Amino acid sequence: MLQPAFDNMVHDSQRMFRHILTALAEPLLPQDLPQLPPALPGLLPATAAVLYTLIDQDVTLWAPALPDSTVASLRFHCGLQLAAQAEQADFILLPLGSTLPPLASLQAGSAEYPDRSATLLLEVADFTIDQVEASGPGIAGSRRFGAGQLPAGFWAQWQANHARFPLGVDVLLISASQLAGLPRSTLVKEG
Amino acid sequence: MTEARPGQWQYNFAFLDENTKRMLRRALLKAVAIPGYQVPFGSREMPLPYGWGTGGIQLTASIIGQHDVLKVIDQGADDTTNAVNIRRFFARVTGVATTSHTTEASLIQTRHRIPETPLRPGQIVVFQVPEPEALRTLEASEVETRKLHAHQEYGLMHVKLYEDIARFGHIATSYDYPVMVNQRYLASPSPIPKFDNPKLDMSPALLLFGAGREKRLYAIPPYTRVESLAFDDHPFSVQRWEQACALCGSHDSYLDEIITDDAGARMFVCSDTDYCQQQQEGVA
Repeated sequence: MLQPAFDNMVHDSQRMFRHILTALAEPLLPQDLPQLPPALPGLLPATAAVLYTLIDQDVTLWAPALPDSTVASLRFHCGLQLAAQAEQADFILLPLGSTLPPLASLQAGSAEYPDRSATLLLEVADFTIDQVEASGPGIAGSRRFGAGQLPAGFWAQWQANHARFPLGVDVLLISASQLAGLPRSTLVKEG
Repeated sequence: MTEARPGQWQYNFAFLDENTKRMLRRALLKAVAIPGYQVPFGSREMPLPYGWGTGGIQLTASIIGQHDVLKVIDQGADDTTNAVNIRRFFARVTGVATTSHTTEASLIQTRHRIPETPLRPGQIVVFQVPEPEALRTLEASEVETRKLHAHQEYGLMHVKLYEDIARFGHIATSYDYPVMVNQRYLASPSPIPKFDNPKLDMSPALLLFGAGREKRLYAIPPYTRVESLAFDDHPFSVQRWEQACALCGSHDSYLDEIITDDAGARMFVCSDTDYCQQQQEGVA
């Protein structure tokens, strides 16, 4: 069964985009998302909003098996095109509890065009724990951050991803009603 | 999708269609993730010609929302043709509030200046950029400049600045002065006077750059290191004036020289009209 998307496609996606833009401009500072569309089966409510905002027929998305109704809703609202393999996708969607594909295997762009790289949409439980210290563009000084139920080994893989700068993938960490950005430019120290 | 108001315009909110906005938005996210790197985008035909700020307008159109307060400046002034028309355009196609006060604006589109009033966190500045490639006058080929950026090979630009010193005794570049963003990418700050370059460094506001004709956009996130190129024995310096502004008396702002009659009489006044007005009101 199809789920309804944004109440007002134009204004709600604009508002959502500004949250995403701010999230990436001020890395690892969780943004509150006040108004969200109904959740898609198998995904958090905020994830649906991110997908409606960024996905259309011009990009491909890879995700582990999603419920049929979710795929149907995304096809209807976004013209969703699923990628056969994560390595080829523009967006990689990982619902809560999924296994992380090796970040190094995803599209990282080329030396001349580092923007031709994947964006990872990663669901997490919350942002209440304290795991890492981050610094880099968008962070005045340093910032403490943590995310519940991150896939195992994520921060270790992130170090390698950051080391490839300007190549690499960018991540949006999504909880039920919050969003944090992790662009490749962010340096993270564990502990 | 179209927000039609009977008897008025029939355009989508902010003129662009939603597909174009999404394309621009995805490009902007990559631009923010790679500070100073030029992201190609599909530039659309806008209701004004290239060179009049089509890049800035497309960026503004893709990020502006109903609750934004928009300020548009051209060479620092809110009341010049380009600024008035772009502000009126967005007022018409979005219905957002507009202002001339830097402190009240959430979104500032600018041509060739950064406001004198310090920017604050949460503000977004959109720059209109004629030539996004800082190396273009030195290397005409896009394929080559892409490689120079890929290898961080910026010797050409240092040679150009050195030649300035050899010929004039100082670095004569006074606007569009090249900067290193996040110690990685050489970028054009758009033709702002070098007076404004220090405002780019560790700015609390998000800075976005759009070049419509060249179909490139780039970004400087807040709190990002932006360094103006220089040499140890020829450090970077900004313009200074002996005069104060003839209208507000400010010694700290960027001044325009205005010829006032045929005999060559002249006065120096702030290029930032809002700042000048604030100063005058403060003094009065």
